[in-house]
Amino acid sequence: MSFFWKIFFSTIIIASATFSIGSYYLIDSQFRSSLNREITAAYEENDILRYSLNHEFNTEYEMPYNAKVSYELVMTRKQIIWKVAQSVTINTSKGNIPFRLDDSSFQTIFSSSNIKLDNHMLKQLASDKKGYEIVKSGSNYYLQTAGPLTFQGEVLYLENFRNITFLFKNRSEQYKSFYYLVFTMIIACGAIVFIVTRWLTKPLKYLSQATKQIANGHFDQRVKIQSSDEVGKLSEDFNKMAVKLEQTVEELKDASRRQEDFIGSFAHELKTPLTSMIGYADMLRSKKMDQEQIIISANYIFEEGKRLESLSMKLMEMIVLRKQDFIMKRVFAKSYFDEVKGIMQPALTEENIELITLAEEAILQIEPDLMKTVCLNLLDNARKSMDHSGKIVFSGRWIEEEYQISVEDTGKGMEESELSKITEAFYMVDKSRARAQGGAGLGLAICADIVKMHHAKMELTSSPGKGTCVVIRIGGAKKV
Amino acid sequence: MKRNRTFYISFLLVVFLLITVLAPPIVSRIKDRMLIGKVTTQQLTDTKAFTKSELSMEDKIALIAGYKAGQENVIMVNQDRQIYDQGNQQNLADIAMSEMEKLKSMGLFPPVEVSEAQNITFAVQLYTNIDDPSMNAEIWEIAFPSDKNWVDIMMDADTHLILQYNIRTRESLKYTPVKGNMNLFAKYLGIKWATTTLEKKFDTEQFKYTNKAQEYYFIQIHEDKNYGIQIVPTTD
Repeated sequence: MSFFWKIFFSTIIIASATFSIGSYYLIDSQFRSSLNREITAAYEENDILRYSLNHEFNTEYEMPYNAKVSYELVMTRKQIIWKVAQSVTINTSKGNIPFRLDDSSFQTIFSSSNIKLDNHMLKQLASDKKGYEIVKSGSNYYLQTAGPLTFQGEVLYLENFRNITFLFKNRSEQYKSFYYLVFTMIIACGAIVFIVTRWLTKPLKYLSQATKQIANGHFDQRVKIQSSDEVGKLSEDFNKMAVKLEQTVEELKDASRRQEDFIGSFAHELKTPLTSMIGYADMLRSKKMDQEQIIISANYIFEEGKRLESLSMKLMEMIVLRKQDFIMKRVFAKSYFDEVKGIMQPALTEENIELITLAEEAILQIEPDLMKTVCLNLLDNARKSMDHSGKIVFSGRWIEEEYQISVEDTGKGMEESELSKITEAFYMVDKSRARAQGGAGLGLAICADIVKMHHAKMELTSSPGKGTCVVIRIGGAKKV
Repeated sequence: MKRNRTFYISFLLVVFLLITVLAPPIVSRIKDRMLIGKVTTQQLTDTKAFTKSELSMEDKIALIAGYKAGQENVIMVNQDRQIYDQGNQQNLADIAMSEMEKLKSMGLFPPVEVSEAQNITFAVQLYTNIDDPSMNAEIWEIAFPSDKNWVDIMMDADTHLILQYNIRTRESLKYTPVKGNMNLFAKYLGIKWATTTLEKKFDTEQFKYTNKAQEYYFIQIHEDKNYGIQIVPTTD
């Protein structure tokens, strides 16, 4: 069952149940109230009738009859009772009230009407109790009230009857009106609830459609926000989720693409030396070559094997870097710079490259071996970007609260569009040149990982023909 | 399976809706079954028993007028009795005639003779407000029929004052204009009401003496030889 129908039915049922319960209590309380009024009136009538009959019995009993009425003296006791009872009428705006007089053995002595109702209720009365019973006779309802009175020591019972059929008829009429009203209410309420529920669930319908669209791959699908209520907020959150999802999907796609590129590059990097090695090895086994050619071929195989070894070592290093936790140590900047310079100086001197080291003193919180890898990689890259002459400035200085290590060269530089890619594995600006120089395109990717591990930042600026500058900002350094 | 479940839930909801609509009359009928045929008794107490009250004359007239106006809360118990008073055994006819003579002397009753009346009838009428049974009035209704006249009087049982009378006669009685005597009749009853008006309808002269809730009609008809004073409730 859809949410729409759940709301629709539950609202209709709650409305009709509330209306029914309310109507029931109203009609029933009105009925009970009227019935109680009738019971009170019937009791009062009974009291008055008993008072009147008592009065008359006393008069008759003590009365000194004259000659005209002396024959009554010979009347039997029951005849006297009958005579007294028939002389009494009780009149109301609705006519005479019928009553009945019974003796102590519940035999009827007098009845003012032809109402034939059982008097079994008298058995539950006594000389000091009065009572009532609601009796149904045919289609009529009577309120039968009875009370005792005493005549010459005998308990008599006076019953009076009130026709209360009108109460039940009124109630039936009220219930008829109730039916009309409740059905009208259900129809009217149903129509209103239908419209309101449709209006309320419309945004949910749109959300559902949008969800389906997204599920089908349309990540640019958005929901129109129509209100500021909970549903509106849900739509807003849905849109935020959709934006995030779209970004994540794009990132995943990008990552997937980069992974494919990585695998492609890796396969290529693996294939190139292997092809050479296979070629030279084939030559060695299939041809007769002089000693010099054998040495050259073996040397090629050795060189390419070394390159493959280097490649595998660097890949291993990258994997290890991403998985391992390192302990940071306190290192003095100047001596650290000198140490790096000492390592690089021979190679640079050989290629006629000037290395200028400018280091302000500081205590760096770094992993010295890893950061040395970064510095050496950057200096080596700078070396590779120059053709046997040039200048590299390797400096360390305080910029506000951060210590900044920079490697600036006067090499070939690169286009700005390439700067964002050079930290990707296997990316090489000039592939043939890089390979010729023994590069595999993994140096800066390793540097980026190490810098990230130090919670530092690496920024590259470059301009073609002028050179490249790499800046690493390290936090947590202390001034000496 | 899911369709079946939806169908059952929908069916149950519709049934529940029908129950909510049909339940009230059914519950009432069930309660009726418990009500009908059940005898409820209560102890008779002195406070519940009927007691005779002592209303003022104005209240008694209001009660009688209320009954005549058809008020549902006012009932009248009529007892036909013999023309004797049980207390002092005095003939009630004598009391009534004495009171009529008193009115005659005040010029409020025509000179009609009732001493020759035979088969005088007497009834005690007890007017009671059943919402408050302490509000009740005992009235005597006495009729004097004779060959020449038929005189019907209503007397207060406590004070013996005549509240209303009606005379039909074959004699030509001396015309007694009631105009101007209305205040005298009010004084006789010991009441003081607000306004008096005169209305003429056909061949009758009706004098209203009213306190708005109820009013007395003084009717005087020559042609029909009908004369009387009646308590009539205000109809508007």
